[in-house]
Amino acid sequence: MARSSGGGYGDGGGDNFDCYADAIPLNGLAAGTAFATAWVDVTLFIGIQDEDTFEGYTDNTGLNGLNKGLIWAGTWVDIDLYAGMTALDSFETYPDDEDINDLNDGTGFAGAWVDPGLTISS
Amino acid sequence: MATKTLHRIINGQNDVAAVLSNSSLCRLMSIGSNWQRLRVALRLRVTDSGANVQGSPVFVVGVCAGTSQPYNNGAGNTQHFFGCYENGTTWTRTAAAGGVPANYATTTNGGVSLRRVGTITGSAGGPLHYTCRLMTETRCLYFVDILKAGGSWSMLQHCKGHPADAYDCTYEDFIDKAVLDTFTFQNHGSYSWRSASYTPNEAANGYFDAVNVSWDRSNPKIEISDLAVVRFA
Repeated sequence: MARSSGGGYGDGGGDNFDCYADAIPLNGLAAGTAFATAWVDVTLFIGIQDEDTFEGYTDNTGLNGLNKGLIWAGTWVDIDLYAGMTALDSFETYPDDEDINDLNDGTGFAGAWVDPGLTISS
Repeated sequence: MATKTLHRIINGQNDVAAVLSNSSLCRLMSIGSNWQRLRVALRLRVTDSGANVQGSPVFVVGVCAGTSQPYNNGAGNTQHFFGCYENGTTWTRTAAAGGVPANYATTTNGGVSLRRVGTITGSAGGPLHYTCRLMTETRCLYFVDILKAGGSWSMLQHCKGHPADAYDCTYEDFIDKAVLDTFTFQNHGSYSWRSASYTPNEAANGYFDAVNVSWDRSNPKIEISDLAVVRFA
């Protein structure tokens, strides 16, 4: 925010902002004394432009479509990446010396382990 | 033969493994066949038979259609399989020395892509790469990537090469590396994509919706400490 001085003498003038309406942009306002021009408010183009602290959202809620924070041009969009580890079994939960067939721990699998009991040597 | 669990204490920590002994193990994935590039990631070791493994042993890692007819090197039908095959005629054993456990060099040419429909098996080589090495006593990483690509699918293998060392890959190593595109780690490496020169016909032969690991010997055994499925695309 900036404003040019009028170059006069005395108390130098000033703007106590008391005559402006509440919550309006300063850009273009021209009250006060001894200024040559109106207030000019420009975007800095540096620093934090958009921010969301996520504090206003309900616990354990999907972010997709939520719209708090500053100054974003749209809502949060959350899509499945379709990448990454999708299934894992470390076998640690199974007892010793047990047939693997039908064991079903681990995550991300659609069924239990299947060991058809094949002898695969030709 | 049956694949059985085996509890060991390795470096002071419990490790339950799925032990392949002339058996074929498979499991349906939650993502079905909805993937373009998939990794079957294993942390494994082998037992020590005390000798070379001769007669073209068959160790395959990949995907199959359903779980009723997985990869079977014998007379039985395989509905549909695609993956990696260690194609060495002899797995050459190196005895333990200098703190490095005994280990097997499965082949000097790495794994090749392998497909099987019914009783018909085909494989394709591609660019040569280094020895694949499987360790006794210590666990190593063994990943197989499968890429569905238009006219020809491809396979990428990540495994321990040479020289052998005494490093035992931890569960944390496994999780860290399983999600990386390529990596170099403790004499492990990511090798070259190998074109299968082949496009599996999933519509006709079955969609690849299960992981499948097979090993056709009972000595040595292959102990799988962890198995993960990683989707890259």
